[in-house]
Amino acid sequence: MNVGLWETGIVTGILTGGVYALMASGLTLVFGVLEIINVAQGSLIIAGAYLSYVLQRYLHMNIFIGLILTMPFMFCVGYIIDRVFIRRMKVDRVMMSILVTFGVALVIEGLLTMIFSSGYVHLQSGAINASFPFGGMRVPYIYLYCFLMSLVILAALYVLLYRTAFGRALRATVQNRNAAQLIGIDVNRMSSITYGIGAALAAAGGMGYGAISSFNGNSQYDLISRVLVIIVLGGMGNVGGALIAALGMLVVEDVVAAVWSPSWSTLVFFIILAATLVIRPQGLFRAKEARQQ
Amino acid sequence: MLTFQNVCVGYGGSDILKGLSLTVEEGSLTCIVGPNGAGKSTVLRTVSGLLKPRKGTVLFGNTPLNGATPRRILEMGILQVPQERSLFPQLSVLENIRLGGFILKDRKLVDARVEAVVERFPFIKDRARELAGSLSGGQQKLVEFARCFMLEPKLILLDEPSMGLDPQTFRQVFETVAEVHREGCTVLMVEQNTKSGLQIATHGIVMESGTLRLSGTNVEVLQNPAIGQLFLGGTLSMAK
Amino acid sequence: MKRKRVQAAMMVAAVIVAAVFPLVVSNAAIDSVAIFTLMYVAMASAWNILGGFTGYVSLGHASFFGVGAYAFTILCHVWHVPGGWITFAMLPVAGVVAALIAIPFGWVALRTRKHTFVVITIAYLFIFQLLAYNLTGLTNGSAGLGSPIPSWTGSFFNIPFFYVALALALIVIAVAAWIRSSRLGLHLLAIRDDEDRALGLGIKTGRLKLSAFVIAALFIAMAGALYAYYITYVYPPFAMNPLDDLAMALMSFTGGVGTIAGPIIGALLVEPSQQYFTVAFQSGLNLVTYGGLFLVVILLIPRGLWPTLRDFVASRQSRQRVPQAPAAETSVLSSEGGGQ
Ligand SMILES: Nc1ncnc2c1ncn2[C@@H]1O[C@H](COP(=O)(O)OP(=O)(O)OP(=O)(O)O)[C@@H](O)[C@H]1O
Ligand SMILES: [Mg+2]
Repeated sequence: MNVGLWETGIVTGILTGGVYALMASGLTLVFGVLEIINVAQGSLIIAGAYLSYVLQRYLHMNIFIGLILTMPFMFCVGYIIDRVFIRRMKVDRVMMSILVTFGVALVIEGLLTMIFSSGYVHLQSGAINASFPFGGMRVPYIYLYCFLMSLVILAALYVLLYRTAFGRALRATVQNRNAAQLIGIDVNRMSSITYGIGAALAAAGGMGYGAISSFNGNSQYDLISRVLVIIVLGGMGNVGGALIAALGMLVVEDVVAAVWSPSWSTLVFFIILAATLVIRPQGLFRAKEARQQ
Repeated sequence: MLTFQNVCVGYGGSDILKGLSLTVEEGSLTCIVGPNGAGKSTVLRTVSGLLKPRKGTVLFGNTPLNGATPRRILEMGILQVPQERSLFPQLSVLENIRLGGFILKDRKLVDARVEAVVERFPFIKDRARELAGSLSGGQQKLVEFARCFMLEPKLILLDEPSMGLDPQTFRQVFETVAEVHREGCTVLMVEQNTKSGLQIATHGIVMESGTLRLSGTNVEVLQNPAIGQLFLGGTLSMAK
Repeated sequence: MKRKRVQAAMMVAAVIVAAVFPLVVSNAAIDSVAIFTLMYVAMASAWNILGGFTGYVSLGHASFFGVGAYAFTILCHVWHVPGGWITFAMLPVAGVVAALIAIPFGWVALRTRKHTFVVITIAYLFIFQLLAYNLTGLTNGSAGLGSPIPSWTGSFFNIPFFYVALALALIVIAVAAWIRSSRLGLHLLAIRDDEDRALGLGIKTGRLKLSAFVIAALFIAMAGALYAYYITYVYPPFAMNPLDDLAMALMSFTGGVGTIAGPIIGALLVEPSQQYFTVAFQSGLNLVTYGGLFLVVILLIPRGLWPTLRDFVASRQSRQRVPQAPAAETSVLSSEGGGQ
């Protein structure tokens, strides 16, 4: 067995895992605050990737600098989606949300296909073509840069959640929505903002995804299924758990791809999920505190 | 002080409160009793703005509460300790208390209020740094109650404060309720324990299936023969 | 009682209309839409046994559609079943194969509660899709497999498929109606209302949920097998399509999830319109229209057409006669089921 392959798998796994951690943290946060499963996250990620594509292709903007525009824009998109569609759901939110956000995902996918047609595209950057040697292979710099970007954004998210008054109110809403309302937290507004943050994280994650692989509107299905697996493993609503699960899963996937075969690596991803659930149905880490009563 | 006029409220399906009218006198300690599912908690949720009346008006003094946000209602001095757990289990006890003053802008004021609350409920001091979820149910109830004093309540809504409390804590809660009431705060309380609830109250309200059955001073309600039937000869007839 | 009779009459009328449909309408394109619609009636009704009765919304049952399609095609190859009437006998075989495969998958997924369950079933679809691509020895990968070619052709081609699809739809509806009215159905509904309470009442929730999961898989797989035979081909993106998952849920919710008539009405409305959008609009716009329509239905009539309509009629009747409480038949344990 070639040790170099293992190492490469681990390194690319960790580096790409950072990008998945971004996407998954948005999804799991939305689950925590809104108590909905946001199936539209996959299409929001792809929308974010296309936005970066437009800025880079037509305005010749560096894809990392472009985030300064795409993240606030996607925040607004997310905010509006929540206002228009999600907030309307009153009863049976978890179940209904899956259907509603699936509908939103279809509309977004359709719009993207109309605008960009269904051909695959790829983001361009100097860092994509340049690479550094590692193990037996060369790792493109873009992997490293995307990982660093993810770290920066996740650190910012941590500060927002754990070091600000807004963050405390948000965590309070996650832990007990009703009680949050009773102490004067506007949970509706919290929800819209959180959905916006989820979409902004999707924009950054989408940029990373689009820089690492090619995509079209249809890629959302592949993405959402992986990201959902990650947040289930991490414990739904648990942001820290999602990070660890993202890194772990991508490492496993990339190692399998490197030492065995890329076509089976994704399957291993899902097998881990199934195996974990047999042992621990609640996921690897503690899920969001179940609501008493 | 608080008036319901012909209020209809539901949770999306059919109405739970079916044209309910009632009044809570200023300075009173009013106790709502009634069988499970009568809609007692629904009344409190409506006052706090968690549910919006489909019909009718809710007045606080002369101000209509219809359409006011929960926050606006808090700002008016209406606080609720709901029936279900309302602490944030993963935050510390102290953070929970602080969050009681969420709507206050002035941080100094919040600090001062936290101190006052800790003084009033000394047991909080010992457990301040622990996660609220690690307290026992009764202790959590007390913290929830204490949290109300982060604001200046004019009307406190208590939903079954005695549920799950041992006799000593139970007495402690009831004494604090009485004390708060003596200080001039109006209290609207829901109580399963009909007898002790009505005994410390000044006024009573009996509800059944979303409507008002009886109301009056506590003595009037306690002595009304009809209420014995309502409770199938339960605690009330023994109280006589 | 009167309502029961009206419903029975409507049912008989619908079956008669369906039975003479291909004899009256001989346009091949329309007949083909009708066949797909009947397949979806069967699939949505089967899905509803799990998603509607137990409240476990599965977005992965389209994988069993694919498993059925592949099992049918592969077994026909292995056993040298020629295209013809006898080939229809392979449908239940494919269904049973899928049902057996569904058992372990259902067991794993049902260890979790409702919202995690949904997520896992979404993952299932992708597991099966990957398997279809990668188990090349069995599935021939992305190139796909040809199924037996029917021995009849021309304008008659659609007719046998139409009646088999109709028969399948009627069987599934009958099974769903039987389950709904039996003790099993009552227990499934109890799981939907409050699983812990149902468990507390001594209902063997685990076994029942799994039965519903497997029954749904069985019938959906039979529809998949019929599909493979009809289009004479099977390959991964067609056999395991996320849109099929959504379609089954959408149809049930449009018509009224948890009811017998709901999925039927939903399928009759949704499938033809989807086929129309696909043909009439450019790619992309069809998704926007489909997704948009879906959102409108879910947000405006969350309970679905059938229950909404039924309550509307009931409230009109009761206003004319003695006022009476609205029938609370959707819920067995609590008086307010939380809405579906
Ligand atoms: N969140 C909810 N969604 C739907 N229906 C609800 C909800 N909460 C309460 N109900 C219904 O409203 C009715 C009245 O409930 P409420 O909680 O007001 O009763 P209560 O008088 O407080 O009873 P208890 O003594 O058991 O606390 C019940 O029939 C209940 O089923
Ligand atoms: Mg109550």
